[in-house]
Amino acid sequence: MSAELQKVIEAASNILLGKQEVVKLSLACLLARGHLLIEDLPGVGKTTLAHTLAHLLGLHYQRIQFTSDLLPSDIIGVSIYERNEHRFQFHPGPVFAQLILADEINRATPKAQSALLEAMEERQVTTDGQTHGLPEPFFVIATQNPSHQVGTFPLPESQLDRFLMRVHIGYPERNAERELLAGDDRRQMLQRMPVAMNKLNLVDYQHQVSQVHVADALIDYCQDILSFSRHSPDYRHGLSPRAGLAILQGARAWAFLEGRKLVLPEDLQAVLPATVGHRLQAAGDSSESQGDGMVKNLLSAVPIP
Amino acid sequence: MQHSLEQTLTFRLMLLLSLFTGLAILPHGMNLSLPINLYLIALFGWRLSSLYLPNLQPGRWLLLLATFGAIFLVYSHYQTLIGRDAGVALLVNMLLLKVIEVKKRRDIYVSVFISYFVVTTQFLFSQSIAMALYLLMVVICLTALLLEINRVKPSSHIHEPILKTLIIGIQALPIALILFVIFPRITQPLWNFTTGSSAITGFSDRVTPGAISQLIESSEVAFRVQFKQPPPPTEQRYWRGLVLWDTDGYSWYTDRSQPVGYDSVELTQISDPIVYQVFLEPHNKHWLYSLDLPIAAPANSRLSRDFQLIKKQPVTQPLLYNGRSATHYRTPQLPPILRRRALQLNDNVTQRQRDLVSQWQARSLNDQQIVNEALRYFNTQPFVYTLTPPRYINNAIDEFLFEGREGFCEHYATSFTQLMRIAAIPARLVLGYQGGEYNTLGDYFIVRQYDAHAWSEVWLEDRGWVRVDPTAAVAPERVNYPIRLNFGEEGSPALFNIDSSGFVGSIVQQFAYAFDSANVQWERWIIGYSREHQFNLMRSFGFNIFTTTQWGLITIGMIAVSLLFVGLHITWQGKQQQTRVKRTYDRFCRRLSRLGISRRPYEGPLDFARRASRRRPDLAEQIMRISDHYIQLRYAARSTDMAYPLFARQVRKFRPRRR
Repeated sequence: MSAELQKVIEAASNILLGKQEVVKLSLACLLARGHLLIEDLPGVGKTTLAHTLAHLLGLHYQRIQFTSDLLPSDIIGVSIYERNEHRFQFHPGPVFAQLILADEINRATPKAQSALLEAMEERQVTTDGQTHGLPEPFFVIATQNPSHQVGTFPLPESQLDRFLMRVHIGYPERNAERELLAGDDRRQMLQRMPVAMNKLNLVDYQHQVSQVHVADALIDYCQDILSFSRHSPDYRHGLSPRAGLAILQGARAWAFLEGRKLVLPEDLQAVLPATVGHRLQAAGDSSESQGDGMVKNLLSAVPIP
Repeated sequence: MQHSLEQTLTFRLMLLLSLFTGLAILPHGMNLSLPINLYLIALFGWRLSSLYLPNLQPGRWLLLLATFGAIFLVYSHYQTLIGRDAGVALLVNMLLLKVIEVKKRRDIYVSVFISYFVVTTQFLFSQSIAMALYLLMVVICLTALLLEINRVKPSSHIHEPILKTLIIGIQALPIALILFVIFPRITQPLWNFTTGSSAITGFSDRVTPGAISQLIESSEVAFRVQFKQPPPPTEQRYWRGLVLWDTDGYSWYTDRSQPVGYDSVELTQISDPIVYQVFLEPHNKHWLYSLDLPIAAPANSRLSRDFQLIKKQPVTQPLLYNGRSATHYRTPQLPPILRRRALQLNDNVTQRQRDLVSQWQARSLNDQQIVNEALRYFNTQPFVYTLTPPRYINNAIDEFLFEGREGFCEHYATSFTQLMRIAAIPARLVLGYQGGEYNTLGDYFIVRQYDAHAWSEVWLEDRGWVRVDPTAAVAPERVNYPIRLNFGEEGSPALFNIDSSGFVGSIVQQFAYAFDSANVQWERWIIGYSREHQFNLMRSFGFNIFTTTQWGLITIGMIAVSLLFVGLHITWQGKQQQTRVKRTYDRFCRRLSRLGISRRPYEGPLDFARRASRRRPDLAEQIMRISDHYIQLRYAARSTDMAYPLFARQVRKFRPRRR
């Protein structure tokens, strides 16, 4: 792994104390050109994580606070009639940025949600019959509250699928929390922190990630996992082929962060909870419909070929 | 790219390229003339020295000059730039100039490919098995070089690219075999090369005293014979070539203005016919050799009235034909014209000869007895059979009969024939070979030029034409044993190889037989594999398709099928390799589990290696090394072929003990 990426991880871990694993997963997700969903309770640092990544990667970023009255045009932009020129002029919305923080995405109505999710998938925006390309690279880091909280519109499965990874942050450990409580304001620390990476390098890293080798043996392993999820009675649906692609892509990025040119089963296992956690639902009426525990069961049930 | 290019043109590679092109050109030295050879040697020397002293590397103008020099030299020598000899001379020169010029990676490719072509052109001159083996070696070297050029890193061992070349060659073999066996052959060569420059030893159609004794200095093979049944004994193995009727007193020949003709001859066989196969070396003549006396003509040839086999075209390529002969026979009536011709005498007949013949006639009642008298005369008078006869200048036969009495078979045969004619017995001279050595390994006879022989045939009223070999009366060993090629002083008696000389000699002999046998198979099945053979082969498999297009399509189809098999094999082999690696790793895991460290089925190799290393720090290094190896073999993009044996060896050696 390059020193630059190491620096990003270290700096982010200084802001988000004791959460190096989450930081690394988030970075892997971006290197794999995937969108990231951060899900947790309010106040554990979702927005801070998103902010930190955007700042450290040196990308042009916009923040969109999702609320229940958010309209699609608030995201995409709007065409306004210019009286002087006698024609409509498109005014791009906040989505035209390299990195978008979609805060509390599940508080907006499905209509507004889908406006962003379309842009994520197509990497372009169509309005009034005109197509506008989005900048490159283009990331969405979305945060959401657990769906059982009040005032949320849970994202449908089809839209969850568009996020390469979903990570949980969780409560900090006691020592880390103490440091947080005793230390400086995180927001100010972030402002003082220098940008750790240049945008061209990011594109280069993304290319290198796609070159990391996935051997036949590893594809076999991935397929065994997919197949197990489809035949096991524990899950409501099996994993889709897109999930399989996401697993491998995430594993590539993880292997790259580990400094390898080849993907090991360990890499796949490391990204599996984040890549399939939001795509799997337990069968039956379990209130805990999604969860990392399920993924752990999946992992231990499938032997490495 | 710049970087890898410089890596390509290392000193070592350039040296190898120069040497291999030199090896490819080397055998052409025999085919090119001296000035061109000298020029080539100079160019080669220039190439080598400029490798060691880069200052000598020529500039563009000097190279151009050298190129024009080569063209001028070739043109002034051959008066042309095309055709086999001039073309090859030019090609070889250009190849060396190209090698001198090499600047870029592409130049090396070009040089190697031209070298392949130069190797191919060698077959226009020689198709012997030894040459083929040599050229195969050169091709292997060139291909290994080509592989080496295409590597990013130079290979560690010299055997690595060579091994790979051999593997590639073996993989290509099935397709080459298909192409060889069934791809339609062109019956006529695309261009006809005259082999005029190389002298071919053999008979001419005119015999002068001393002609055959020159011939026997050569141990070249005249032809080989394989009998379909037990071979006849040595004293019956007379190989009939051509029959000479006429003489001018000095030499014997058959007058072309009076051909004997091909009227059907009715022969009374007394013995069963002998069937055999002759593999004739090219001698540029029309006649074929057959066991005395042929009764049927092979394809494309005719049997003349005096039992010569005459082919329509001269034999310029090795020829395989079937022969049918009878060793005991009675020939039909002699027509008056031929009888007159068989009695013709020349003005070299002297009184001494007539006196000698009339003595015999006085003692004899019939022709047979006269013949016996003559043979007795040769046997009892002090005649010497010698490889180095003196030159008889004025009247060769007379001087030989009464003064010198030292001669070779043609002296005996010609003088005997003449004496018979004086005695009014129709007689003619026959040229051919006698004997031949038996190749025990290949079960065939080799007849060499030194087996050349001349004998007579006389017409006896009640028996027809009868073979009489006056040489046998002088030196009976000649018929039973090969001559020992030991030329003593003039007139010394010839020696014979009556027994093989000792143990070493017989081993050498065995080797010679094995080599000759291999050569025959090579000539017969590789060089001589013709369109006719192809059709016969296909017919024997039950195919009766005749058009060239269909053959072409079948060939392409078979190649496609074999390529498909190769493809499947490669994928299958890849799978095999994977399972092999996995099995070896499982063995490693079992050994660790005996120590109480067992891998969980979902545990990745790295996790397991770390856990095991934590448990047994003393084994950590070994465990990590093996696991690394396993990871490389199983999960890396490309593993080298050599890696697996090393991995397997490490696992074999991993025998940890409990603490």
